Amino acid sequence: MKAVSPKLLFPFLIVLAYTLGTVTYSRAVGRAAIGASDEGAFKKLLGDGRRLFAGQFVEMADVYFHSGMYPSIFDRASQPATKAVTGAVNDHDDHDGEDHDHEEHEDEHAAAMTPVAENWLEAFIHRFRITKHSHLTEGNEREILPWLKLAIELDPQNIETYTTAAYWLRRSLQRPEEAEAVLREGLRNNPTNYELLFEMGKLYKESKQDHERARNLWLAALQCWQRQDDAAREANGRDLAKIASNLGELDEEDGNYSQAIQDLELAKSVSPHPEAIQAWIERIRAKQSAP
Amino acid sequence: MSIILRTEKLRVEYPGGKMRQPAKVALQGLNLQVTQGEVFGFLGPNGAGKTTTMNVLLGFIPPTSGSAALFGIDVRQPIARQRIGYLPELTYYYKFLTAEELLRFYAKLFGLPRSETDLRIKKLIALVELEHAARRPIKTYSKGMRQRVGLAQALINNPDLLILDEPTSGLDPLGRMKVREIIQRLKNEGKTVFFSSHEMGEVETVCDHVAILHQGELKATGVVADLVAKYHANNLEQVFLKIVGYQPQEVA
Amino acid sequence: MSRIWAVAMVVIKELYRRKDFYVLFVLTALLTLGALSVNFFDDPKIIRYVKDICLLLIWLSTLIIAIVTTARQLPAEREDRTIFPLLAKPVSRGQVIAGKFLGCWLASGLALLVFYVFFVAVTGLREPHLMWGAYVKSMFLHWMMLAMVVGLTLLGSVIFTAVSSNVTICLVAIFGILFIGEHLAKLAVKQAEPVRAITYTLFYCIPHIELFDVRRQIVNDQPLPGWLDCGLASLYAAAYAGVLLYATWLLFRRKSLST
Repeated sequence: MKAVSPKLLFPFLIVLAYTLGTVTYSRAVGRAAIGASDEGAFKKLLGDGRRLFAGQFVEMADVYFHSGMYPSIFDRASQPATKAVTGAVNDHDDHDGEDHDHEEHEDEHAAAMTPVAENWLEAFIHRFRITKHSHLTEGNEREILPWLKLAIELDPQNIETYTTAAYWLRRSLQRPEEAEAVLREGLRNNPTNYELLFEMGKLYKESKQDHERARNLWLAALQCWQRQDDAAREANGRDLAKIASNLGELDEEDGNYSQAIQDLELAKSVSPHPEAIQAWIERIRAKQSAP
Repeated sequence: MSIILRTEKLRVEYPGGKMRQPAKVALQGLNLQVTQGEVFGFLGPNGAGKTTTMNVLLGFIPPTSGSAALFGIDVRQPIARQRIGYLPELTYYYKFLTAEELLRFYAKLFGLPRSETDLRIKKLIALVELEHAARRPIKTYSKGMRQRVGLAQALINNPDLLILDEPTSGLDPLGRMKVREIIQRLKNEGKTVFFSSHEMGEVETVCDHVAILHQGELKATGVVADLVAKYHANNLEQVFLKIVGYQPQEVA
Repeated sequence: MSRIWAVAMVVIKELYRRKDFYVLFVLTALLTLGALSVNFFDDPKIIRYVKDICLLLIWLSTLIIAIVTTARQLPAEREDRTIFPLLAKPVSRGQVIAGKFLGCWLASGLALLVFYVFFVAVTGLREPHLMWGAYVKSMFLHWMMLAMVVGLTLLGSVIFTAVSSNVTICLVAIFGILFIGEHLAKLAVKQAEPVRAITYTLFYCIPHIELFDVRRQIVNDQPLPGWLDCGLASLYAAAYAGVLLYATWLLFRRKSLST
């Protein structure tokens, strides 16, 4: 058998590699077209581990929100603290009539964030750590957004990330268009999620003063909440109270007192503070009966 | 004539290792004296203890017992090496430095002033004929060029004693000739040269005194001509072979 | 001192003639500029995440530079046999150790300076008021921390035969200290004896390099510790580096020079 020249072998190998590459790629594209839609580079790269990263990025946003003063996982194990960056969204959305002692809450929060030194070496190390508890203000809240955006990219099913990003864009940065874009992206990835619909309603009511659209969105949110199974409904009762009380407030503002009372009755049925809502209902009834 | 290099009852043992093997005796009771202005050849077959002796003289390893001194100073003191130059058998230097930078570095170790360093570098670069490559990194040098850099660094402090370990090994005939010329020049300048070699012809040509070492023991020492006469030999090579007990096999 | 300085200068020359530093710098610059070019909600004022990423890369790069440069010093001297002509000069082994330490520390400091200049330049693109004092303090603390890292790696280089083993062990130890060093006392409380005693001992014995990490203050525009605290931290670093160097010398003075 005649020996093949190495010079000929080289182009032959290139042609072979190119052909195999083309065939394999076209088969892979064909399979992708038949199966699920493109899931993005992050999923391909990280698999389900991307959720861990997403959680880490939400925590980074929280660290920034606290101007860097943040307990380690070891400190949190002994003193559990809620994430203020996401917690603020719920604090402001709850209209269940409960009186918030904001300053007391803030003091507790600051205490939970402050690490305690148990020996001289720890005390010395703490001198090199941030010790003043503060939250971002005056538009500096923008600094948390890159981490939230990355968390959304990594875990599109984490609803809290969309609502948190939208909340800060809308409330502190006065950028409702960007907030709406975030929520729409969330709805594209999670079309039946009531929390996203609720937050979109808040945006239309508070930033765009479009009560009609806000009402429609909250009614849609209510429907989505009701479509959950029994266990989920049991667990998410507080969310129903939140949606219904906001609807009640909207109807009250628009003068639809009967509808507002209906909404609040619904909220009262699941609220942990029914007496406060009852008092609210009484106030509306008084307005209704006033000449 | 003052004694430049002296060893007394020098003994070196290498530990036996982890398997509880007995310690290996590399040198036993070595007594050497090298006086000023001598070219001293240090001979012996492989494993005789030449490198061990040099390692002790240069402070690389401590003696197990006995003593070694350079210029009357114990070799364990770094200052004993202030007036010596050393050329190792295998010359590897910092490849990322140029020859000029390498010489400047070694000059700093000897504490030479800058002006004197500049003069010496210029002179030594010319001596080893590396003017064209002095500012090129050593990694670009051929083996012969590296050997020449080695020789230059050994001379940077204008040493009174030069210790050369197989200085011509791996060199082409021209390189060997150059090294011999330099040794001769140093001898003429009154410097002392202590060197080990396997090249008997070379040793015979340049050495005043020789010492022959075998299995860690000093077998003979003296002027070349005296040794040749004493052992009824024609040349140093025959003396060496007799001392190490070489018996030529008859060729059928 | 001039001999120690001469040995140190060779180490510095080695750093800037090798490619490691340039590769890491270019990588840091590319990743930072890449992060800077990402548009988040059309807001050009967002900067903290860029500072965070850039400082993280600077920390990683300088740790790698310090560890890799230091780890190969003594093994390379022995493998390349350059230790023989070096020790044939009037230099003691202690001076070689001190020179290598000084060289690696200064070389890492130079690399650190270049990285910080880049960091300040990038930050200056979006921040109108630069915290010069804080940057200087942060870089100083970082550099002091590198003294401990260099000392630790130099000690590793006389214990472990292979450079790769030393680099790996030092990286694991240093990242371990960075992540859990300051929390060891808290972990110890939850353990039963004898693990508790061991963990406490570790807490008090390890060099707390995480102490010098003030990135969070820099990123979040928070005040840094005062110069007095920085001075105390420097003494702490100097004491540890001294202990590590002494241990290195004790091992190296009796070590065989051949590989």
